[in-house]
Amino acid sequence: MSSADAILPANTAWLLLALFSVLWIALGVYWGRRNKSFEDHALAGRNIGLALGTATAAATWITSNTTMLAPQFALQLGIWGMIAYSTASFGLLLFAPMANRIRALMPKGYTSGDFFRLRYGKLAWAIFLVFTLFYSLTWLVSMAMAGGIVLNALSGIPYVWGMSVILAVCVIYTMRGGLAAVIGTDFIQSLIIIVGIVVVGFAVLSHVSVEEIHANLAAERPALLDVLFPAAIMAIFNNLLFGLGEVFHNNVWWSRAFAFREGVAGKAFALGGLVWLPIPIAAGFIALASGALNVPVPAPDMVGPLVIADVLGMAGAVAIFVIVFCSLASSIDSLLAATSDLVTEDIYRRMINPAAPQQNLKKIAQYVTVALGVFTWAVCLPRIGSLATVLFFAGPLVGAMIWPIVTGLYWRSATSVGAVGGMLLGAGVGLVCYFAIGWYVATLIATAVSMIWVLGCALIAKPRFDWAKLKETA
Amino acid sequence: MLIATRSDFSDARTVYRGSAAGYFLSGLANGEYYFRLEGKSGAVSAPVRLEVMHQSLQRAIWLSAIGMLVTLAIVLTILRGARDE
Amino acid sequence: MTFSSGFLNLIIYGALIWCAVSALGLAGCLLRDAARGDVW
Repeated sequence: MSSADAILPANTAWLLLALFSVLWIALGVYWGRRNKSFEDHALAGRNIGLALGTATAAATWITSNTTMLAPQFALQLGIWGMIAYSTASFGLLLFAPMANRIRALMPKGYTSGDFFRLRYGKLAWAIFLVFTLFYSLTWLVSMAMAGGIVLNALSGIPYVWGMSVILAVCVIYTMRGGLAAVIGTDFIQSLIIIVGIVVVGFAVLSHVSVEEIHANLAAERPALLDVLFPAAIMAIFNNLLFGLGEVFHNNVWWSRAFAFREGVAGKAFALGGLVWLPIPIAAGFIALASGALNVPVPAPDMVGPLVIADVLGMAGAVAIFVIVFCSLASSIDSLLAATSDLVTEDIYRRMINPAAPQQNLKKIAQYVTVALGVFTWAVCLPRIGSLATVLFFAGPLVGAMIWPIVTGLYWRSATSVGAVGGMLLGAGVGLVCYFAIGWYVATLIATAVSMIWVLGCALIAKPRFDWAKLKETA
Repeated sequence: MLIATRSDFSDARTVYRGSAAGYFLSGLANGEYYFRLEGKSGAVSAPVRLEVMHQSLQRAIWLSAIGMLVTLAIVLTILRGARDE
Repeated sequence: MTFSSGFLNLIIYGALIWCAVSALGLAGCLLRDAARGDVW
């Protein structure tokens, strides 16, 4: 998209970008002064309260995908598309009881890698690390790339500049402030995003009524209203399971379970899921109004901003720019922090230098954050659009980890053979289905295959796991 | 831009009026559609034929049934919690 | 079979109001935590 089509003047966009960049970095540096050890840096002292906990769970799950892709989903898959997207909140809701259990079983844990290592041994741990790093890095790359593309489309800021600024800002405040900075900024970002969506939503509704939207859809795009729209129905459980797999395995969520104060973890994840639940609908319905408002949509991924700018003009353009910037930052910072903790704890401390003191680990974590940022930047630089589709390969990988994690947390009979086989078989069969049938079955089949293997192994297993082994100290 | 379900455009209606260079359309029911562009001066473009065929509903329902089963099993396992401690 | 206009009304207004309530709830919860010195 050329800058001529941009909905926001470039100098206004630069000003907004500069203001928020200064704010996030200042907060990151300020909050970072509390952190003395790796434990402070990675887990914010294991003492996050309910308000910050709830907001960070919701904000991290609100990616640029939620605010940009929800309208696209609504436009392509209709009402079911919005509802299907909302089911991603089940990931947070179901993780709530698991977070309580994680905190109780592993009071000294740091990462989801610690769980795989202690529960299932080295081989399962290695497979987990490959899967999760693949997923986290592609997610990080796709979001940084989306950031550059969206800022360019909204304001004409050149792609490389937009991508570089977003990434650099997130790297600086995450590196300086650690998880405390990530969670603190998440709170502010989540309020901005939610209030922005509400204001924009009501403003759009003051220009076009729901009845007019419905009448237009019924006349021109009837399938979007169809209760039995096949493509949309197929998407529901595939998306739901992808969401479960993402939340259950990723260190983004485990590090929060470890960081929340005792008694807070479960409540914060459950409330975070409830906060998140309505957002895909509130942000997505705007796309359905495009027909009634006669807004032409050249490509489905720009439908949200185009409708908002058309209806609300300059104010709408500023609002969508700020909402998108906040949703990008709230997820990129979390991924940077959680992935750098994973690399520091699981690869550096457990494989390379077990004797490293806490103070050094904090330094290492900071270097790793910068290295991740540079790596992401280098991959994003050429703007290879097809890279974003790589993220869909991650569906079968994360789906195949659901059962090993759930049974590993609750059943003493879950075995390493079950976990290793479930992950490899599930991911393998899922990837074959991805290419042979389509993306919409890949996660579903992977989860189902892994479930059968894991349950079968647990059924015939003789040994019983001793939970005390998870309570590793230091 | 006009849309019609007959190739002679006898049942045509306008889907968009304006100057955009691209247009994304979704949500059509199964069937054949024809499109053509008309300029202000009355110039008419060659029609474009489009066939819409949705995924099989039966397959969608089967997949959903498997999905529901797997999801329910996960939910039950989590809610049941740890038993043999 | 199609979703009705009433249903569309319900989910759109429901979602927007739900969002507004959760924003207020989050802000209120932070104030409560701050009053108890429980923020982090």
